[in-house]
Amino acid sequence: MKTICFNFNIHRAYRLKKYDFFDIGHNNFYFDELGTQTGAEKKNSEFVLPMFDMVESLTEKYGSKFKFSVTVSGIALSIQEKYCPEIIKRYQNLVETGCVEFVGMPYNHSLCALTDEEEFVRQVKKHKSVLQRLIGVTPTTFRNTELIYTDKIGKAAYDLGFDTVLAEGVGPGLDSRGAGFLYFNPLQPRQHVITRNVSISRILHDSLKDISLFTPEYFANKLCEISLEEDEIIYMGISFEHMDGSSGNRKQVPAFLKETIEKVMESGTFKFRTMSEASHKYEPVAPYHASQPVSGMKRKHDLSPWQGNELQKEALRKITALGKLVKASDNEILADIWERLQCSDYFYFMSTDKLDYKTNPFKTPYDAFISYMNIIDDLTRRLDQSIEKNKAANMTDQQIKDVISLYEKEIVSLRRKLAGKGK
Amino acid sequence: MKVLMLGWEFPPHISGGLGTACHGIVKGLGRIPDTKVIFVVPKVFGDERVRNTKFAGADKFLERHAKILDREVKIEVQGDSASAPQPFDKVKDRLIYIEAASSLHPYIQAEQIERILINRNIDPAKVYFDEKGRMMTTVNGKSKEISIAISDIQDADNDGNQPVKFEFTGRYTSNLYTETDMYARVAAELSKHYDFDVIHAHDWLTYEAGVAIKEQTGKPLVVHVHATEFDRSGGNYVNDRVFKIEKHGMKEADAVVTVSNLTRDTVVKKYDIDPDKVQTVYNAVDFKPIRRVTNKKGPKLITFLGRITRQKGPEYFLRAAYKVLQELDDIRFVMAGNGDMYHAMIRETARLGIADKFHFTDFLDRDGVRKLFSITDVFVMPSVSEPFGIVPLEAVRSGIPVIISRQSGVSEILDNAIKVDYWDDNAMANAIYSLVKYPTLAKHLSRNGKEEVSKIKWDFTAIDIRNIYEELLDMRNDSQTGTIGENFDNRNILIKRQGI
Repeated sequence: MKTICFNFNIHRAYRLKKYDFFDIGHNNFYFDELGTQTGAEKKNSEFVLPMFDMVESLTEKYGSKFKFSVTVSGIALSIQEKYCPEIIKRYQNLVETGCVEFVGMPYNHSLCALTDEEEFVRQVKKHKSVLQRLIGVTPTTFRNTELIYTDKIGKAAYDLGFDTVLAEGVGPGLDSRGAGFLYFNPLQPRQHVITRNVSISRILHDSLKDISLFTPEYFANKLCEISLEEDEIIYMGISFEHMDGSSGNRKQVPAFLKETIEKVMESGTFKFRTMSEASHKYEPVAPYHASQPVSGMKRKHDLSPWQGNELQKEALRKITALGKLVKASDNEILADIWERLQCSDYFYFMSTDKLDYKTNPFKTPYDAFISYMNIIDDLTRRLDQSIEKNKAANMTDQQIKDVISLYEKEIVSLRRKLAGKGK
Repeated sequence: MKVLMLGWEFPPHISGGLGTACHGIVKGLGRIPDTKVIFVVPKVFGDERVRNTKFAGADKFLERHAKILDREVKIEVQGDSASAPQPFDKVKDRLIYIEAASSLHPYIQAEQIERILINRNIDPAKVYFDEKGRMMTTVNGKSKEISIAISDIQDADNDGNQPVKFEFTGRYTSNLYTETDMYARVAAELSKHYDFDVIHAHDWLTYEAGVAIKEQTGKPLVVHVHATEFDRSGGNYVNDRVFKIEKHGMKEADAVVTVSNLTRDTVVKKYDIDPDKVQTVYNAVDFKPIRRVTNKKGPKLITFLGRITRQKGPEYFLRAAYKVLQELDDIRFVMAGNGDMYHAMIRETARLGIADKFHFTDFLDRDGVRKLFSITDVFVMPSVSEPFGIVPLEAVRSGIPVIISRQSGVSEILDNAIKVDYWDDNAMANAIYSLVKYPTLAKHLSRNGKEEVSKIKWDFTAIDIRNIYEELLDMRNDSQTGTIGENFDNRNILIKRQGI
């Protein structure tokens, strides 16, 4: 029997405020907390919870026959923990059924895999530990932000304990047999690569976006067609973020998905497995080569949505460069802001390719860029101030005495000046 | 004496120096005894709903004029001066303020350019400006220039989200030139209902109207040149039709007022106008700064403020900023304004890797400008061709040391400023560096500049203009010919007489 691997992506970003030039140096609030909260609450009650209900009803019906994987970003978890703690409970319940595998990724849904190895390690570890703390699981499968993958990223993940990694099923690195087989990482042959079936994920994605497009039967038939080929693994990825998009029928999505899965179940052609189960079940057929980044973005499968123009490149360069100051400042609040700002969504706002993003507060990519760079300037100043303070804290007694005597002299001279003015 | 003035945007909704200048002149004239101004402003039709509710009594006029012109155009008139915009409060009783429906708008926003580019299948991200400031793109590896005509902008406006500005003609295919004709007809009709002695038209979009009224009434016409097509185009690719309208207006005028000798030169040489009837009257400044809050410890702030177009030389400012940033770290630059080069400038800061120290504010209203000036340490006006340039005077009034391009009218009258050639980004960078590094220099310019500029007043500008009116009327009465501005040095006497 062929294997189906479902992966649900769950991600939320903090909403950004429009931060203008005059805010620099005066306004420390970069994020729209209220918007983030109401957005999260709305989405969770209207979509995420019904999805959980649906998945739970399937696990009740089919027991351990229905299995799947979930990738949830660290920021999404932190927002859910803060504003919708019920969701965290539901994750825990799912884990108890034994039907779900949680997948690792960089905590902040960031692009740091491309720019900063050290930060990558830190964020992946952070994500791992938050999964352990909140849900009690340790991931062994890795899915980088937006499915951005290179051999090196895979290798780095392996070194962090991930023996399975997910990638997009396209590109020259793929064996002629296509996406439906298990691959291995040429830099670390022990690491298995599962590649996403782009066309079937696309059909599922489209039919969820517009339910009138296809019926569950149509979709199940499509899958069976594939089953006639020699593919072994069908990895389908769907993103919660994209799924409740423009069409007003998000309430019907869970029902549609449920029916689809039931149809697939009934066909008896497939076995549902988690990613790591699939990875251990099969033998890899060939290496998956990705010397250049491949992403899960539709059509182009490259970095262009986040790093397609010079604005995005400059923004990423500058936020990455701030890392040094963040370390030197040793200030948790500022470090947290810096991490949040690395979220890939904010670079997406700066794309000039007219991409669709529902909660984008900016009218143009230029507005997004200006606001982001203003924030970076302000954050830089705060980091500098914090470093100055630290310096004062680390002074020797003699240095402190020197500074005091310097200030004392100045106070005396200022007093004199003041007295002179009084006359 | 009554003046029919064909004006422009009015405060506070102004996007350029022209509106500020009109405002200053009208206010100045209003303070001269026995001078009355009938001020006609073209008004964008998109605001109509607001107007109808706001101004009582407008409907009657609308009806009357709609009839006259067979319902083709609507004219909005504020029957009495009481409803004139608040900035004119002090001269209310000497001012009749009229808004004529029209789609005329002189300045271009970045979004409009973007829309045009997209309509032509050009990727805005691939547009850049070359050494000469021409808008370029790359097609199949070859550089190609993009030329955008004013009519393109009007077309782009009509299918975008902008308010539709041609509604009153009922057609969407009109272009700007028919709009100027239409405005001329509206103004000419309007002029029948008022009594006046002189016609005074500001810049080319109103010249046709001025000429039409002159033909109809035989009154003397003054055209006021705040900028020519040569300035706006930054020296290249002068729009022929605009040039012809300008030339026609200047030829037909009885007197031409230019805002500087720089502009006078252009008018005489490039438009072939009789120098005897061209007179320079400098602009002035009327700006109330708010208290400065410059941060002595924080980074120094260097400001560019103006439309981000080729004429204003934003790219030279950017280049100078880049050079300064190689030497100094504790310094920030801000470019305030909008225009066709706005997005290209943002991309350029990103490309140079200075975007965290070079900021943009988009268009600022008056309060925004005041706020910006209150925190600015150095103001730079690198204009390629600036007939006058009021903004540096406003900066100086705020106590800010300024760097201005030699290619500006204001450099003819402002001594306490550092003057550089606009193309010399090295000199500009040096000047910025010096002003930041040597506070004595900055203090000197700030203190002396403030004093110097306090003497540059709209009242004097208005008196000079009023003198021109009088000479024109005298010439008419005596049927004599003469040179405008012959009695020009009588200003001081006049000032004394009128107690200003």
